[in-house]
Amino acid sequence: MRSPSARLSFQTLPLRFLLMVPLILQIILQLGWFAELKRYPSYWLSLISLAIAALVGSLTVLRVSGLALHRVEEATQAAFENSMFENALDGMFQTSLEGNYLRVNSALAKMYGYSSPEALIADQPNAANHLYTEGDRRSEFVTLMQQQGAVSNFESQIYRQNGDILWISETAWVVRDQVGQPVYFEGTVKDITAAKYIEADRQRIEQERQQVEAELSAQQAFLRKVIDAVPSAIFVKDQQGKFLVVNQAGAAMYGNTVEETLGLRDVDFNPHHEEIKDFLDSNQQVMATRQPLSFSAQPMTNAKGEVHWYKTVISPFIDDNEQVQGIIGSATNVTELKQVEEALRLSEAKNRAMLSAIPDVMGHLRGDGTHISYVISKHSTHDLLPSGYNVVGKSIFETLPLDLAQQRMEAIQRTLETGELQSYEQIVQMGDRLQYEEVRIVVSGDDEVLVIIRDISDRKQAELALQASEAKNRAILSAVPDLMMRVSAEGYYLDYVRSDQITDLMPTDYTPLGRSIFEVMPPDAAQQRLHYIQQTLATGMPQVYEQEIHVGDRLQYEEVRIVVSGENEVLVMVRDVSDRKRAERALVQKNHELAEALQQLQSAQQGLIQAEKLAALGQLVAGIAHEINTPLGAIRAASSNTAKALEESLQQLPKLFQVLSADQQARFFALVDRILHSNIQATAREKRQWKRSLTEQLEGHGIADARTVADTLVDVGIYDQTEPFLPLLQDANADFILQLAYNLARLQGNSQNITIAVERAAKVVFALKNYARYDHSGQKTLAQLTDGLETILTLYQNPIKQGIEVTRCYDALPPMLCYPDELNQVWTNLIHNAIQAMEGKGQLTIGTRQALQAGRNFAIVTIADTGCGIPPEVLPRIFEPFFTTKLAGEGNGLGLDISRKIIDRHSGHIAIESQPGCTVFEVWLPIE
Amino acid sequence: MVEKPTKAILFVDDEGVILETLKEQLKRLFGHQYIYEAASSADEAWEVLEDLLTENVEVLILVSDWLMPGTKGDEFLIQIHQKYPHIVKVMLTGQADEVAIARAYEQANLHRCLSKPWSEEDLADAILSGLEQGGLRQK
Repeated sequence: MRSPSARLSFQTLPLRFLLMVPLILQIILQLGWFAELKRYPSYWLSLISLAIAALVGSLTVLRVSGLALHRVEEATQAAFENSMFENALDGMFQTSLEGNYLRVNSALAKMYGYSSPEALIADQPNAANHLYTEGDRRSEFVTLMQQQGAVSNFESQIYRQNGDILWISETAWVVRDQVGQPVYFEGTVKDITAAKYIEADRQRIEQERQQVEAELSAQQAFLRKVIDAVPSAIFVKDQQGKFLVVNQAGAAMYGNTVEETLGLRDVDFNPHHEEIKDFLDSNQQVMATRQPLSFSAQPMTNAKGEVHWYKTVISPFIDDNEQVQGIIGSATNVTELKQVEEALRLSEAKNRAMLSAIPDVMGHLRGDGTHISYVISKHSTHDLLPSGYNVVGKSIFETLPLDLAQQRMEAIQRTLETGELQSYEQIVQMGDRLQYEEVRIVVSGDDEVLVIIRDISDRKQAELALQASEAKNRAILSAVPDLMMRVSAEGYYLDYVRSDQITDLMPTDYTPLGRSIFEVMPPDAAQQRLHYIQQTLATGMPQVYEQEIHVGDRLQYEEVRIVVSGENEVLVMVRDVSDRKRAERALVQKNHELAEALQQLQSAQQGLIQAEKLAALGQLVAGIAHEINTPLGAIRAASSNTAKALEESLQQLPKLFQVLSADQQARFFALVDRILHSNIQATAREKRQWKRSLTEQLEGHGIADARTVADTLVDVGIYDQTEPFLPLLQDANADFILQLAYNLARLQGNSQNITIAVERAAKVVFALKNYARYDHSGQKTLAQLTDGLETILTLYQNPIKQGIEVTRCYDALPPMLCYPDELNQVWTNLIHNAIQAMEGKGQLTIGTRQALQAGRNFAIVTIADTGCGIPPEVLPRIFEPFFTTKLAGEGNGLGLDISRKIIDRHSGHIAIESQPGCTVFEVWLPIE
Repeated sequence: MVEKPTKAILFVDDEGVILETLKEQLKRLFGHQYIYEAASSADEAWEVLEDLLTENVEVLILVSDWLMPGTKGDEFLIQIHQKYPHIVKVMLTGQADEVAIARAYEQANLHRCLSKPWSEEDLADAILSGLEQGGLRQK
């Protein structure tokens, strides 16, 4: 057997030699030859020639020696191969072309579980048949060998002898003889069980890895899908704002794909710096604070320049090392929501505007009557509640009067029970008017109703007015008292309407239509009727006549009116005027009676005037009594004082000449003279002041009891310039001297007082006489109006002086013809009323003047007071007889009535203007 | 010379002739033992009262008219009585409401009501009895 390596070495020998050429060349060069040769290029050619010759020579030598060598080699080769075969670590075998082991080495035997190669070969039939775990593996191997002549790394599973399974890798080749005929198969077997297991493990691991990768990638894809499926934008940005992660919605915010977006920043897509700045600010804030931020609506402009609104949440993106790496955010497009909200807001505003334009008051209420909402239109004027009052949360029992609240509550409950609209009307007192309201209640939710209240006052009033009008019309129609008929020119009835207020000649079931009036009426009446019908048609003017008809046992008076009602026809209206006729007769009778009564009344009037005058006088009496009694009191006291003064002075006079020196006498008479000429009228207050200053003066002159002396001096009318009399007052007889002077002075003083008092009393009596006078002559006399006014002022002096200031503004008037006593009664009434209106305090202004009116000369007396005034509602009635606003006993209500009658008698008139604080009566009397 | 008087009689009337004649009458009745002061209205009377008080003069009797401008006599005397209950009050009037007089008796402790025209005797009696009643008659 020849080993393949021997053949190979032989075949490659020339090549090896060739390979040695450069080596040889190098040796040559290193021997220094090359250097020499370089210097002598002509030697190059001879050298190369030499080398080629040597080469050719050596090839020849080698060939010759090679053949000799071959035999030696074959011997050593066999030994070597045996050693290699036996000691090889891989299993080795040689088989026949049929596949029977020719030779195996120990490694193979061991591999296959045999103790020795011989044992393996001995077990060959078994081994050959049962080696491979797969039955056809052996024939496969053989086929491959036969077809290809070699098998390389043919891997199979085999049974070891003990039944264990091994993985082996066989490499075999065909060993051919010199002519190329196959001689046997030769090959190696490697135990690759361990490698196989490692490989299997590796494959398993690889498989698992791939599986995991696949799963991971599936998961990633899934996640990506999920993220992309999220309609909100989801994004992760790094610290510089570059998108690390973004989903489709996120990329779509700028109108891009995910791939276009990743790694870029907002600013790369959005040219709106304000927005970008906001994003950056918020991102920075989140990264700085590590706190999430959310925005309900952030504006963002996309590539098309459209602004969208996003609800955004951004959170810090924190890695495992707790470092902030950027932000994670999500943004939901709420543009539509925002638009919807805006639309909703607009719609709501519109609704509200519409609601507020509805003049109803509306409110949502819960079933228990609590307000949930309340809408008051600005046009609604009928709200009970004050504006600005918030009723939400309040019960109707708090906001409505009890009866209305109860009614409303019942309606609400009924609405909720039945689910049907309830409506009712209510009347509400709004200030000073009644308001009619319609209340409608509908269910608006679970235990919730909508209450709508409308002011229907106008409608209601119109309804009421209509009802009233209809009722009136009905009343009018039913009250038409006439029997009405249409009659033709020839006297035939065309139509006939009965009235329940006239007794018809015809029975009620009788129909006169088509019949002649002559069939129905007495002949003379029918004749008369026809006459007037024809008269009516001839003139076109309504005709009226009266007729008397006997109905049963009574006479019925009828008024017949005939008017044209069409061509050749008239409307005849017959009215029973029996009552009117009777009334007319009664009226005539009454007129007669009235005329008689009037006559009596006129005669009574004068008495009445007098009575009223006396009544006024009665009220004056008390004051007048005082007016007379006061001067009487003064007179009586003065008279008594005079008597005493006279008596005393008569006793004192003789002594005068005894005790006083001539000088003193002269001084005394000077004193008396001064006293008698002093004639000073002073008030009590003035006298007290004089007395005080005089006392001081006298004290200064050393007069004892200066106060008493001063008092007496003032009493006698001396209050200054006392120096001439000081010697008298300082005299030892001063008391006597003073008392005598006092007595003499008082004789005069009392006399003067009596005169004053008498004048006072006389004036009152004169006024009374003037007032009470009644001129029976009926003739006017010439008089001064101011005299009469003064008379009355005198009579009223008492009440006047208690707080009324009288101002007289008398323009000169000529004496005029009048009834002075009657006019006094007018002045009395007007002044009395004025004093009462002022309640005793105020200003009474009496004036007279002249004026021309309508070409006539008038004397005008004005009496004005500052009293309470006459209320406008009373003013028109003050001249009514017996009308009075005074308390019982203060007046009989005839004063002004009589005053006006008196002024009428003078052909004058009276005018009044009145307001609180100023009432003016003007009496205008013509000057004849 | 009589002792210097420190007691006074005050009279109030709106009529000057009444004041003048009344004063003379009183003066003749009681001489210089009293100071006689006149006032023409209730308000003025109050002033006089105050003045007299500051001069340490005591008013023993007050004679007042009823029908006067301003405060009526009964009202005035009631006010006086409330402040000076010891002053003897006399009314002198030409006409007075009966109710007013009754009120003065009741609420002003009115001593006497004289009507105009009055007699000197009645006046003297009213003053003297008044002074006695008050236990204040001066010797």
